[in-house]
Amino acid sequence: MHEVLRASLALALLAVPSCSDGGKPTAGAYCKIPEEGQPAACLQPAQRDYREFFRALAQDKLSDQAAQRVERDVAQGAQSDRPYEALSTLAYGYYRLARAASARPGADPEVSARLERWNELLSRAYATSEQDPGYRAAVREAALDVERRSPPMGLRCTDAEGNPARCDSTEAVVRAMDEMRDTTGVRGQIGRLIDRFFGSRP
Amino acid sequence: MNQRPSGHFLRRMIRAGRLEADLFEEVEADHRSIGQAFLVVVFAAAAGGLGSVLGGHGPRHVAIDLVEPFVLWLAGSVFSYMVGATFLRGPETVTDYAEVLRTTGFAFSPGIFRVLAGLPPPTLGFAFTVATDLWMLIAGIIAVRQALDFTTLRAIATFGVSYILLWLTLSGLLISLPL
Repeated sequence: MHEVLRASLALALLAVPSCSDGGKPTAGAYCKIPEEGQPAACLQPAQRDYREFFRALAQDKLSDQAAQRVERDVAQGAQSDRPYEALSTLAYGYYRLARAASARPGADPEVSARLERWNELLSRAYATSEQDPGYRAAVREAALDVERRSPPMGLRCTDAEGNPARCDSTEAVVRAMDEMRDTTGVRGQIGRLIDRFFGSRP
Repeated sequence: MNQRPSGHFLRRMIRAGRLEADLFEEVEADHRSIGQAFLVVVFAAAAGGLGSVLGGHGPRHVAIDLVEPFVLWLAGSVFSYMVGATFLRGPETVTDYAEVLRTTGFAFSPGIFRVLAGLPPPTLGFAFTVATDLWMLIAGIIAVRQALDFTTLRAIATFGVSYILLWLTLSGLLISLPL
């Protein structure tokens, strides 16, 4: 029995999920937003799957129709046929749209509305993928990647107390994801006790 | 030849991380090792907190990572003792609470690797979190088994029941605390 416990631990340590940072295409991994001027080899499968989306993005003419398939696949979360490709595509699109919008004078309500909708999609993909921790981690990674790389946009979101606020990009999405992990089991009860003692929440 | 206390302590942590049943037997019998067990939990909590900070988590998440090991150790070992020494006790079970506290404290030794939760990319950090939690869980089961001198199956059952009791107790505490 002792050997079985040791073996299961060894297997768990070996089962580190793969991830991709712009290098070779990696199945079952989120592809990070490539650096400016750098090739994004890991995005190639996504570019094949969502040709229309990438074409519209390159022409700075992303329509609801062109984004529809990607949005639908992200909304399906881990159940989608191509969950990681859809996630990588959405994150890349988010970054490109935010960058293009910030370069233009004045706010673009259409882009802001789309990015707010995509924030909701990321939150939903995370919330509905409880059975797939690998995909869940990838969604969080995508939201963090977007948060790090995208210029400030001034989107509608909610703050830590649940009040309406303005967010630069996916910061509220990442915060909600972290809070979700902290709401279950003994960990969740400890979190609620901390809230109670320090008065951060009712 | 006398060993330096720090070297002795480190060696014990490594042996606990290697899931050596003999180590848990050793600390079960060593009454003075309670301080070392406490230090192991402190290290695990600090590593978890640091890992969360490096991983870009918010203050609430960091606070939970700092507090969780102490709650699991102190309260979890109380319930493990209560359940394991009564309902699930084996024919050879002879123990006291301090023994369970000492062995389960050392079971947090792999928790030192919780600092790796801050490793980029987040997917990798998350994988380390899951692996370290599982590692500590297995160490905890072995610690309870050695402290209560019964089978692995009884240790797993003790762990499961203790977790539920701990959750219920915290729930009760939340209800009873004034808003």
